[in-house]
Amino acid sequence: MSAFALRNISKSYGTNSILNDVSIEAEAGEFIALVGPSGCGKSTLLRIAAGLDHGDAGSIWMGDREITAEHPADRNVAMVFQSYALYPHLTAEQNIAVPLAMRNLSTLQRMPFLGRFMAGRSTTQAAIKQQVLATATSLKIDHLLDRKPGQMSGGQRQRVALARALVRQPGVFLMDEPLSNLDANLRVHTRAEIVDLHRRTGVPTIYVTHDQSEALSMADRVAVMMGGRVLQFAPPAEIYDNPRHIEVAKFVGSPRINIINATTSDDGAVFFGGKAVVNGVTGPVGTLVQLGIRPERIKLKPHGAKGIAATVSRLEFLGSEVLVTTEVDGVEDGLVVKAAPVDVVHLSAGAPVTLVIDKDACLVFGQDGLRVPLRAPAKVSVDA
Amino acid sequence: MREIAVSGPLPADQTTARQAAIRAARREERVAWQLAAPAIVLIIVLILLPTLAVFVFSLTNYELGYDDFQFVGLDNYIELFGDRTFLISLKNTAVYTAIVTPFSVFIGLGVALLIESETRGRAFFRTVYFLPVASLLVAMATVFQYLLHPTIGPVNAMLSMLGIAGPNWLGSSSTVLISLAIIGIWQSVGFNMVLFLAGLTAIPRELYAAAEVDGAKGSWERFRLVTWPMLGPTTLFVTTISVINAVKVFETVKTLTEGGPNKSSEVLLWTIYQEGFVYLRVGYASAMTVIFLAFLIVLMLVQYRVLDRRVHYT
Amino acid sequence: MRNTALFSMRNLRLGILSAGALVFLAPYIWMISTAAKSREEIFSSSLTLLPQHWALWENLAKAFTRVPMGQLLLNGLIVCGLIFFFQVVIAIPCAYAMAKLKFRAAQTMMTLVMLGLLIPIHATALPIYVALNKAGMLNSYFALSAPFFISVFGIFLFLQFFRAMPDDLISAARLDGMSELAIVNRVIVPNAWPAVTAFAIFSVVAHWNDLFWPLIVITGTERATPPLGLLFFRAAEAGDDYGALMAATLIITLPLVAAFLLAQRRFIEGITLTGLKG
Repeated sequence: MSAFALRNISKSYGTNSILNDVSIEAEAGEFIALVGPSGCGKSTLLRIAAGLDHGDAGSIWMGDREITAEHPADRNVAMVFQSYALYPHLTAEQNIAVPLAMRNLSTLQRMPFLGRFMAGRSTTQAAIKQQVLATATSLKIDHLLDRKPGQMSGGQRQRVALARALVRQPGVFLMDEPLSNLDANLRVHTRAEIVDLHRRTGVPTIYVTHDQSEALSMADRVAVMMGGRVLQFAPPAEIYDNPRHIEVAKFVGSPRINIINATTSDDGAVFFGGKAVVNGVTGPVGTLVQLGIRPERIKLKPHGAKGIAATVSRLEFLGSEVLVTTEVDGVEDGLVVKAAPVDVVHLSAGAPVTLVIDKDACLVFGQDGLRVPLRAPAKVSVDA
Repeated sequence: MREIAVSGPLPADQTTARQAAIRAARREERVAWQLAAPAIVLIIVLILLPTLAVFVFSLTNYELGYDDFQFVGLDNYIELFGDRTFLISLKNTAVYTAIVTPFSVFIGLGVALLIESETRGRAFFRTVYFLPVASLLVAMATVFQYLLHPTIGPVNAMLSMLGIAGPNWLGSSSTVLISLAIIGIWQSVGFNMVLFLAGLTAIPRELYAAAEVDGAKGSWERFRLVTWPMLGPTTLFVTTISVINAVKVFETVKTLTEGGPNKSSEVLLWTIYQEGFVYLRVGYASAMTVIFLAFLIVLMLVQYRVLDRRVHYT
Repeated sequence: MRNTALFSMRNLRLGILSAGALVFLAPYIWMISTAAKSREEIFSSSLTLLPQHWALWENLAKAFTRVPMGQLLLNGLIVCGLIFFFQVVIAIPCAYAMAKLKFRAAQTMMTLVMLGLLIPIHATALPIYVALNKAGMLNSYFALSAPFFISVFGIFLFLQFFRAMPDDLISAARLDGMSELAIVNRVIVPNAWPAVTAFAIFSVVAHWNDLFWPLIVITGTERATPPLGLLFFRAAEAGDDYGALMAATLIITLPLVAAFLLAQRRFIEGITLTGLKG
């Protein structure tokens, strides 16, 4: 039984399907990232999880308790919004206290003026203040408590939003692109902090992002969503090395995976550049397939070496590595190679080179985008 | 809806989700109705029904004080167009509007342009020109009555110093509309000015830089090339508002002239007020109100049409 | 060359602005000056601004004794207060529902609001007067204020303002356990102050200055608003004692003008905002 689960969620507006039979579950203490391009339905899914939106089908579970029909406030979920959604007129302390005050004080006790005379208000309030302070201290924002959101930086606001989510000790954390409004430096720093916070609290977290590197670096498991479907739900390494769909392969990894159109020949071999780069592809001879090869799995060799002849068309220096775009016969967009700077010092645009493809790394996809199973482990039988 | 079309029994969880969705939607709908209900009721009671009632009254010979009334069809309207007072009233309203609108719009624009390009005393001038908007019109009309007084008024005293015999501003049928229009202009320039100032600040500075680079050297050329076209929507809006406010002239007439002398300052709202609330001829006054309302609606429609067609800068 | 041309251009601009300002201020200057002059001096029709004999106190005293000036100002305050209170209390929840809730009638409501914007009090005055008359409720604060409890313009203004508020804020409030009414009271209203102030200025200026409606429903000074009271005062004075009359106009004009001078930034922003949205 998982700590939090979305099962078979579907949603459509008229004939426009937003979510199509989506299932995601988080085990206790697990960090799940939902990643996909904008409009893939990930934010809608998160809103459905929070109860702010409702699906047409499917169920939502908190442990063994079904919460599909429950009010957002009763679900014991906490959400961190992209815009932080802090109440602009309240101080950080008051912002963090809102969920507690709503839960622990009665309507009468919350009334302005009148509430002051209601029994039990002051003890509850003292307890709330205590909790707020503890949470704020753990996030190192206790010095900001009497500031309003307008007087804080983006990063500080983000922490207050986290504190507001944390203070209610929720059954699940929902985060909707919480880092996208931060500048690049702060984003990398805050990534680590959120992961750390998650480790400390152990609250299962569903984290929505459009940034694949964020998803891969933070999550225990990543769900890649496109067009309202989950294409793959697996640990980051699995997603990267063993994508089940060409769209997953294309979406994950930077620079993007190289895609080559090819056909199968006898015995399920796929030839590229005059060499068989893959063997054992199932299906009839002459099947159109797409080969995916990660840029770091192609090696640059000097011109004339054994391999695929290519011409350098562009070099992009990125510091620790260099992206080499090459022109290759039969590949429309050319192939991108990730190389170490020392390997390319002698190269310039127009230089002829030889490419050697790491055969273990060739991913074969069918015309429908799905991975094509290989008959046997892709053993190299033809010499490169 | 979609699920219902699917044949066969529905899985249990699907109905839960759907039910939750429907319940949540209904709850939201119910809350929305509750929040909007007071407003809806009051719009109906205070705006829609009275407007409808005006139409109905206009077809009757209803007079306040007499309980029974008959439907008389379009008799009131027919009578209206033979009514000398009403026709004079229409004409005077048109003349008043034709004087006040262009002056208050262009003076408002001129003052806004001057203030915008002048760095000294900006806040001071803005305050001064806006002051009449915040002042009680009835009171200020009284002041104007004194200023324009034929014998003891400072205006005529000043004119006589220049050797001009000042007219009996509010007392003579040839000058009364002009005098009222002067007060109307004085009162509305400030309002138009702040709207133009808002419009001017909304014009991106780069456009002026671009115009200058493109060779528009003088301030007139910059005005013609950038300011005037960019102010298009504001100007149209200010003009419409000015026309509507001019058509609604009432306070100054009631305070200063009561339609006189000899009906030469008889304006639409004053006539309606007299017929409806003094002579209590509700049916007849309602017919006038319908005409008045028709004017306003036509004006707004014209504005929407022009906005749709011509002004595409925003 | 260019410098002197520029200099004279600026002087010309300043000259025009100053001359215009003088024209615009003239009524106020003469109002104050005349309020301080004695009857005889006014009728001597001299062009002096400073009175030879100060009669300001006598004139003010006349204004205060011949009409219940305090009552008039109080009436104005009560009526404007009532109107503003109800307008806001009714318009804000409605605008919130239209802006942020899914609501099948929202489209119809929008049409109603746009229609309402077209219809001024002058058009609906007759039937409302007839109804108030039938109910025997003329000559009351209720008659003065009730027709204005609904401000479609207010709904429109708040609607625009609320639409610009982030949806996330409302989602967060729902997750935090607030009911929709609590969201309006605790999230929307505290963050709608710019719109509320702008609307307050618009509403108070309009109703403090309104003559048409009070003239219709009020007959005595007991419930008269300031503009109506001034008319009564003029009638009582046969309009000839300009000193006292100017003192009365001074008193009646002062509250709003003083409020304007104290908060002119807000005032002009408010009027601009409401003006442009209207």
